[in-house]
Amino acid sequence: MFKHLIAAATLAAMTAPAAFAADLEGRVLKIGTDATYPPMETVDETTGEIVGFDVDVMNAICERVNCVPNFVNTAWDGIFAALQQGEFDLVISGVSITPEREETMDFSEPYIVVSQAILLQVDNEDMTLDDFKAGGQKLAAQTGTTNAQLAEELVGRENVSLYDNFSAAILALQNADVQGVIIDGTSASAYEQEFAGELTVGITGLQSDPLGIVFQEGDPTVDAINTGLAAIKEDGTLDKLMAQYWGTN
Amino acid sequence: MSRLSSIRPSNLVLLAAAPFIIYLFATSSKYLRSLVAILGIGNNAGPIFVGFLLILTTATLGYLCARHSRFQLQAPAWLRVSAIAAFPVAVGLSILSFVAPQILLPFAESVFFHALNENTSTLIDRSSQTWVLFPEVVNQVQTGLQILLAIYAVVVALCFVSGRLANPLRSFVQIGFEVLTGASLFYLMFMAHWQFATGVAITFRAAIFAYIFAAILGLIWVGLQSFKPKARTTMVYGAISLGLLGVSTFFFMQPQVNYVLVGSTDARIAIVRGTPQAQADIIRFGEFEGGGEQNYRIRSATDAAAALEQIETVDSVSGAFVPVEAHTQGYPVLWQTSFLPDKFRNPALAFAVFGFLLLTLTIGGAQHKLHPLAVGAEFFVDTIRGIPMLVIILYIGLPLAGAVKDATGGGIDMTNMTRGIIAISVGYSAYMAEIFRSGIEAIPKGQLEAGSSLGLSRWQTARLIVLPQALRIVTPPLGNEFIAMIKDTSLLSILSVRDMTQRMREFQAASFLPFAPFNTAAILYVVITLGCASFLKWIERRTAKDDR
Repeated sequence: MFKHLIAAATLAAMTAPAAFAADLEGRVLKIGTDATYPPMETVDETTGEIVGFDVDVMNAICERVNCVPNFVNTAWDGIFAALQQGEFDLVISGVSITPEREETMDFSEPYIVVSQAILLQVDNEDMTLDDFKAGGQKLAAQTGTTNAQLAEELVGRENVSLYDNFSAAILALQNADVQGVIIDGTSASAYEQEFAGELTVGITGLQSDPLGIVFQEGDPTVDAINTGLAAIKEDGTLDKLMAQYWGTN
Repeated sequence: MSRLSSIRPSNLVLLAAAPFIIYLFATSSKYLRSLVAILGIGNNAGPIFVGFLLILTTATLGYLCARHSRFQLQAPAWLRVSAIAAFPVAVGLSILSFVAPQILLPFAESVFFHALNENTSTLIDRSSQTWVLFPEVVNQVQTGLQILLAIYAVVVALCFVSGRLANPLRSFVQIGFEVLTGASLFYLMFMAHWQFATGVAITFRAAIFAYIFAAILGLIWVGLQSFKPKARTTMVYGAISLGLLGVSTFFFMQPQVNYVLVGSTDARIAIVRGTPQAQADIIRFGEFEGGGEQNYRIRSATDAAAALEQIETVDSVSGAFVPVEAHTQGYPVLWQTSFLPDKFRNPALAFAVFGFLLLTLTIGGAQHKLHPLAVGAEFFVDTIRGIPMLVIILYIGLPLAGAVKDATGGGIDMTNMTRGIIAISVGYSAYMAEIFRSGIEAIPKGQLEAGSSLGLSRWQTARLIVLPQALRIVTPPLGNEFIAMIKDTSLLSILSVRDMTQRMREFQAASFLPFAPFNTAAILYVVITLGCASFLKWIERRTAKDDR
């Protein structure tokens, strides 16, 4: 079901010149992440470590450009404020690249393109996008995400319920407080598997967002990370990771 | 049975429910997993906990021993037994650290590791995914632990001997020992990293520290509010504020620096690190002459030379914003400006703000026959009470802490936990001040007059007459504040502090379990707050022993 998603993940051309030696000399990068977003980043119960697709991507990049990732778990609400204050060197947390965000922060090249989807209760699995657009239906999403913006476009602000993490939005759907949850397709399938027989990814292929790694505006580190990203795109490491997480290739 | 009947009713309910709760956690894997996640039971928790318990027991007995040596005559039996047990236990632990260091080492190692700065410390081996201490550092930690425990055993022995000294030296030495042993116990309980219950430790410690600081701050506000203006107060404070404004003017008069925008604006513009934000924004949003009000991308450079170099070496950079004197390459100059450098502008603004504020307070105070500082304290309390705690935490935790870090050149770099504690303290100090004020104002004026007619000074009247009675009045509302604080620590997650609530969210997301984490967190918070409430009730009973 994610074939189209991977196909859409086009390899972006590298812009960093070869003159740029991509070696961060073993620097420890403080990386902000909101680890409440399976399968992009979650806290592993048994080890207490942060794991997920984003973490693996960052580790692979750091292997190429010689840096040491140190993931710091933080709430989504303050994540960009903390980045701009220099609390983190970068943020990787399934962040979509948007023009508004690009005005205040710098993004790496996209490392994956995800299309958004709507999770529905199984009873309403035949609801269509037009049902939502027709009005009277409510959608839930996480505050301050592109999912929330899309929800607003679809059903209007007064019909959008925003929650500070996706677990709460899913609970609202289970309670039938809302009729759908807008979420990145990459995570939607994880929730669908987990709540089999209760929730379903009813509507897919909504707006596609490229996800990027976020830096403070003007931070030169972005070049080194882009070099590392290009390297893992080239040698198939990134494709291997996508296949590992979403079982398509 | 008599003990059972004296239990507080709400604790009795909890005790009655305890078997069911324990049964729930023991039989349901969902709940057990939630409990492990929310308590923050980390790797290797078992051995670490054993080491912690052994060291904690010794530290507790050592403290009781020091306490016992001060009050030998009226000490209860349990205190005497603990004091006698302290020395053999301390010696035993010291021997244990030589014979079987692997029992105590996990705890010592984890405490040492977490006391380091994890991003910059050179003692940490970062080659594998899980960071550990270098083996030679572990050996040093072991040696350090052995030395510390040996010293502690000697200290406990000296506690016993100190009784033989003659007064007044004896009482000084004994108080010294009590402070020393008390401090080590305090460190273990409230400062050392608890790998076996990280979440609880964070929630509980944040609340305790914030409570202590908030109480101190609250007392300061109340103290300021009680200032009475004297004949020359307005003159003095007016002069001080004008002085501050004068200093501010001096900084504003300093020479300005000239900067030029050179190169072209086709691609990114290199900005030297430390360029004032206001200037960088003018470039970013194209608000300079010929900028055409469009957005330009920027890129940071370490210094002016590097910024100019980037025009040549980095493809994505076409322009630079640098001081005039650095620009010798003859790039086309697009725009020229001059401004006050930050090192003058920041103090100038700070002095201006403080001077203006003090002037306003002085004028306001003079109009109403109030002391300017009293007006200031009242203004602070009123303002802070009106700001939501989340906003205070964000504001103090990010921009303010960042400003402090910049101003001290990175000298004061507070951890996120410290910032959160300061934010909660400042927020709650306003409520505390009001509580203290109500307690003090509840004391009839006649008592103050009686005090002064007995010839007591103002300070003596406050210490001997007002405070003892006021404390009794404010104990219940202060307890309330503490419980509210425990719950507000959950807001610290926006500063990357992983308290119990944040851990609950993480676990919820990772496990997809909807209700077990909620219920577990609720039960844990109830247990903590009921424990605190009972402790406060006990304090209340002690303070109100004689009369009501």
